[in-house]
Amino acid sequence: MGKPRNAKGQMHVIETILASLVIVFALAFVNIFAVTPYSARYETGDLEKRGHNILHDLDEKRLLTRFVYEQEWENLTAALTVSLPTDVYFNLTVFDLEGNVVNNMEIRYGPSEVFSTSNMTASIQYIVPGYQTNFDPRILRLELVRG
Amino acid sequence: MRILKQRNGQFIMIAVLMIAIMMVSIAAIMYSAGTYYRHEKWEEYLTIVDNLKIGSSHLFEISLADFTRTFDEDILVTNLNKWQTNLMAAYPGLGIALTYSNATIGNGSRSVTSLTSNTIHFSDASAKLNIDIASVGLEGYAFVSSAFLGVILNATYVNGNDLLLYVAVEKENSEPVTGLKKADFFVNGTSLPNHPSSQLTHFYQTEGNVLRIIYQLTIPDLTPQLSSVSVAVVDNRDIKVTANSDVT
Repeated sequence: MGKPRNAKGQMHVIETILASLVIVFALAFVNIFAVTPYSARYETGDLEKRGHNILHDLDEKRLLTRFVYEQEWENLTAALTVSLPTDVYFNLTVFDLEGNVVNNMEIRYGPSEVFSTSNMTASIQYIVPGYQTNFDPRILRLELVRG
Repeated sequence: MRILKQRNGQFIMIAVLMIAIMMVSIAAIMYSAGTYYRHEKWEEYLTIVDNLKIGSSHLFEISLADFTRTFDEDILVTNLNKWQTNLMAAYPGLGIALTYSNATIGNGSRSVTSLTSNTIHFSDASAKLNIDIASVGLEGYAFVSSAFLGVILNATYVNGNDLLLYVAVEKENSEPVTGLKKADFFVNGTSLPNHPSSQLTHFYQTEGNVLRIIYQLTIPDLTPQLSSVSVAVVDNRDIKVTANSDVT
């Protein structure tokens, strides 16, 4: 009577171990496919949305065109700095239609090397048609990196 | 034998359950990942469409501001044609195509429904725009873009020779224009600050559901008395509109 009970108990232990292994294996296997919101694959998309929304808001308030065409680069830098979280670095370049850089001073927050070294730089392109009576489009390229 | 059968049965049950859980988990994760990326794609071109809409809206304001100075009726079409090309340069590889129809620009006047005895003089530009973005399969995104500035003018003499002007200024969707300064008004072609002792105040008036800001311009001791007056207003977009009225 004792032996069959022991054999039954050992079998339960083996079954439990095997079941645990199956669960661990399943979790490990599933984890390969999981993409969490904090992964690098989401990061640039989130920054791109944020960057675009900021440019769009400034444009709606008629501030963006004023800053660009009146060449108020310090004000533009300040507006972007207060609109973005402190751990997000930015670098904005303004081009004319021939591809020449228009801003004669850097519109940047954060160290310059971070934009060339980071492999997660979000880049947003935005176009403004002109200002007041003057149709003369400018293309803005905003680069964003998490610090 | 009975015990052995039960052991095998339990193990198979557990294995089958595990496999089932695994399959469901994978399916759920693949589904959410797929949904996320479909969502991302949608958002990506929504942001571009937003940029195109607000940019086009500014284009109409610029064209109208230019028109109210030069009276070049081709300016809107010229700028729209350039804008079509500029968008392709700004978003290379996206296959953006902007087309337009019913482009109009001009000055005019019509009676005001809420203030039946009054006339609104306006400058406006509008067109129906259509956006296609080939790279994301967007076709036929149509919207109307416009710029508008209107003025309702009433003129009267008070206290003998003091000219009193009531000017209501509105933009698109009958939205009142706020923050106008003396330098933004021109009476008979002369800037208001250049009229000696002129004054500018404002008050609010509600007509049904419409809220208006009425600017009150006073030019004291204006002789000889005028039978009619012309008032031009320039808003912060540089759009100009001129209204004429008899002085009562």
